[in-house]
Amino acid sequence: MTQTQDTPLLEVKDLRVEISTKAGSFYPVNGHNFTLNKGETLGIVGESGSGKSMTATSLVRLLPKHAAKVKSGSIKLEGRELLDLSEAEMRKVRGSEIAMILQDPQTSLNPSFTVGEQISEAFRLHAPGPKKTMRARAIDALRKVKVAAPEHRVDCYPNELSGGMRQRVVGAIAISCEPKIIIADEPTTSLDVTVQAQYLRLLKELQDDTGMGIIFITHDFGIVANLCHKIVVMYFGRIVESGSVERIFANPAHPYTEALIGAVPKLRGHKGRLTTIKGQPPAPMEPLQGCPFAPRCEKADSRCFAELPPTLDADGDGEHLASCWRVLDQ
Amino acid sequence: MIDFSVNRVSAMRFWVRLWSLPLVPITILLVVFIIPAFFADFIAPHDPYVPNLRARLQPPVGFGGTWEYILGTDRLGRDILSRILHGAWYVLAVSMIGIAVGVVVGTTLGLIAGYARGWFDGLVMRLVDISLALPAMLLALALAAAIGASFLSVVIVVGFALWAYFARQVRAEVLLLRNSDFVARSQVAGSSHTRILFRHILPNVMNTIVVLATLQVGIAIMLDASLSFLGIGIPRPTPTWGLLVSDGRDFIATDWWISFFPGLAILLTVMSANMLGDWLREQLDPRQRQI
Amino acid sequence: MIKTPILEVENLSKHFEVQTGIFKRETKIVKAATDLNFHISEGETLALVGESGCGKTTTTRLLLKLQTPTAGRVLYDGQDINTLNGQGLKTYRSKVQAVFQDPWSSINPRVRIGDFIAEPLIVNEKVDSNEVDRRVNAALDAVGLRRQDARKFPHEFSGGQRQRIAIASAIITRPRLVILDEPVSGLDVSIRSQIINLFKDLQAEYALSYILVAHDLATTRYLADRVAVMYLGQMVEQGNTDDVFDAPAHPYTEALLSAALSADPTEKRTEIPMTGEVPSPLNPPSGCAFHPRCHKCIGDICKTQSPVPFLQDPNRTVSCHLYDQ
Repeated sequence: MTQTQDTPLLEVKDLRVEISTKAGSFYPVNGHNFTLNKGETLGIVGESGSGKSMTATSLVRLLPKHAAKVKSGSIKLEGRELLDLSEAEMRKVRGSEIAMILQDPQTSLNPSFTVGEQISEAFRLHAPGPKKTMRARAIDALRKVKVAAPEHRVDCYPNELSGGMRQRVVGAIAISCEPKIIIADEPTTSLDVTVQAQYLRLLKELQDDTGMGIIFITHDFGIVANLCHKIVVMYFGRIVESGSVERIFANPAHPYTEALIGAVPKLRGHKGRLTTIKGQPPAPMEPLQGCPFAPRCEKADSRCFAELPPTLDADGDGEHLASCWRVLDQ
Repeated sequence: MIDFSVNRVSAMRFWVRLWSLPLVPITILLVVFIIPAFFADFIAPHDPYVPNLRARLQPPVGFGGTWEYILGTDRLGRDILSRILHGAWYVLAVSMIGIAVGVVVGTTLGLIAGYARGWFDGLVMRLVDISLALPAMLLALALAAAIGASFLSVVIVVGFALWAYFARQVRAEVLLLRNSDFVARSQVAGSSHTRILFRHILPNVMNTIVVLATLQVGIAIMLDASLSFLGIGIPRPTPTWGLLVSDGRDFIATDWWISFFPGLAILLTVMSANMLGDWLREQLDPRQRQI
Repeated sequence: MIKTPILEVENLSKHFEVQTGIFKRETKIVKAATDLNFHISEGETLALVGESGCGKTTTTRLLLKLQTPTAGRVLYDGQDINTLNGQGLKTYRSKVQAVFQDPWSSINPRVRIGDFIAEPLIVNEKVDSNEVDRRVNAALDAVGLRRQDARKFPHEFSGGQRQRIAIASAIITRPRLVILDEPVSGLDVSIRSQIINLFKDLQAEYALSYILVAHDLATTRYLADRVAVMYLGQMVEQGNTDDVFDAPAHPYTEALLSAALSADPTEKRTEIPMTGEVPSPLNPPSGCAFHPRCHKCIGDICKTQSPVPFLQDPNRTVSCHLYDQ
């Protein structure tokens, strides 16, 4: 996309996260490899329980303490290893370099402070200043996320705003320190389509202005198809396919991806039967041999049940990877 | 994120629960309260009512007393231990029947008020407010004056003091449940109000009622003891625990054991009942159950 | 095929009174549904579309007799459902069923699956227990669950299975109309398509009619034969799904559909930006309720007069001043 092709903004290598419970342990993030460049949008797609949210929280090192920890791998932000940073250094990274937008605008704002106070709070941690400038900067931030009448809204409490407006405020807080990466975890699931469209357009405009990278954690193929450059498809804690949106939608290499795309009704086009995937996703600690998707896969053969497929190059140019034995047969 | 397969979780949960059974409070309740209440006749070493003037004010074992009167005797020479054991039955009866009255009245009114809303709801809520504002002692005094202090009057006072808590809690839950999808679905299916109330709403407030009732055992016992202490409880010579405490009031500086041991029985029972209630609440609260 | 309407809705309105102000002295009226007219025929699917707060849910609740209308009528086989009683009401209750959004809250956690599924049958029809068992088994078969599941409790099932249970219960009385309120939005993608296919299969097998409320426009287009677009409690456009989606007549429909994201990167969309947000139903705008956000507003008439439904063809109505004269 841009000139910094050689050092990607974010580079994740062999990331493994382990969760230990009384009943045993499992890996919700199991050997992740992906990169995010400047100005690029990456979609992490998966169903509930696939480990996509755990991936997001592990990137900013906000995993639940005691229960989960990073077992191995590396997360590099512009070449700097995040896993080696101290907690204090990491806190700095979280506010100013990587920001997060969570699913529920309802709970990510504190109901007992005004919008302005909460935005200034974010500023204060990274660039303190007198109260008046803070307020001016908060109004500025609200204007950036296209909140109408920011001078008035800055003194509102969250409950006085609509859902879409609140999500914009959350966005304003996230971009307040001009982060290099925004991680958005299902940011629009609770919003109406019209509000969702406005919000996504806003994120896109901000990205065009600042060149930040965006990671979307989502199960919505509409968002993926319209906003992302690259996608990573997760199943049972593993990345089963990754590559550019165009290639994956046009020519999915993994049967799971193929089935997921076929399972979603399209706005235009055929009204034939939707693809279904038989059965249920496996439980996290289910002992599975071979490919975890094999029991639900229409195309599985004996090799799929016996041996876990490695990550294979689907198109021969290293840009489209899939973990499926069928890739070898093509 | 962490969704275990459902079957495995329910099996696991069963063992976890059994393992976390609060054995200490249960043992205390059995030893101090429930076994004495039913078997006092067999385990009490002495008759709790017959004075023995030769054995007046015996101290307990370890403080100069003998094994014959383990916890000592009162100023008429009656065995404290036997009196505590025999008193347990009255304490149990008053608290259980009192709570039962509170549960039945409170749940019925709360259910109907929450489901029907309207003027009935307003009326019940005002009654709840009045009941919570009116000191139970005042009612006890009034009842004692009107019909005389008796087992019945104590039960009425306990029931009156507790029903409002049940009514308020049950009503609050019914308000949520009546707007739930499964109640709407049952309405759509054509179910009658009674069917919806008893088949869909009541079973879902049962947990709350059980937990609240367990937590109220302590309050009921304390109330019973206070009434007896003040002399408006079950009249003498019934050895209720409050009365036993009150009996030793004048001797507390010299013959402390007369009040101390009945007081200890109250303390242990109320504390154990509360601990059991807390444990039950944790077990039955659906929010706590989701791992 | 001659389609007979099962349900006809005539000038249906529902207004709520809301107390506002510090001392709740001021009474305002929220017009959750105003002057709705539509019908549904045998074997067809009608979708209600609009943003949250547009009155979709209120409308379904009126049809399900969970609320009583302020004005207007809902006719079932020519009979006003709000005058039904006795056997007539029982028939209505057994012939019009519903599936709700949340498969976790729409099933009583303390009732066995078999009893839950059988409830509409037991309360509406005189059947012996053998017949109940037979019908429960048939319903379980129809939705793809195992017969021995009838003895289990709801917590033993996943979200998708629960939605199947809710559907089994909705079809056990062999209803003619099932109201689907966001039936798949709580489900995972791979499960969603199973349920959507199931709806289609059941419709084909039992000649069911559906009234669908879904915020996902792609699902709506996939399932619905006809679509009714609502804005602030009013119906702004109604027509065959393909006609409406391909050539929306009302500016609101146009803007709403343009906001939908298609799960296909090759589909290009040109979004028509709507200014502002849905106004509060407590203070709806004068004239046409949509005029403050409309990109085709033609002046004073939009601000002062509310538009009259215009019949474009027998299947298509639009309420917009663009089509006046």
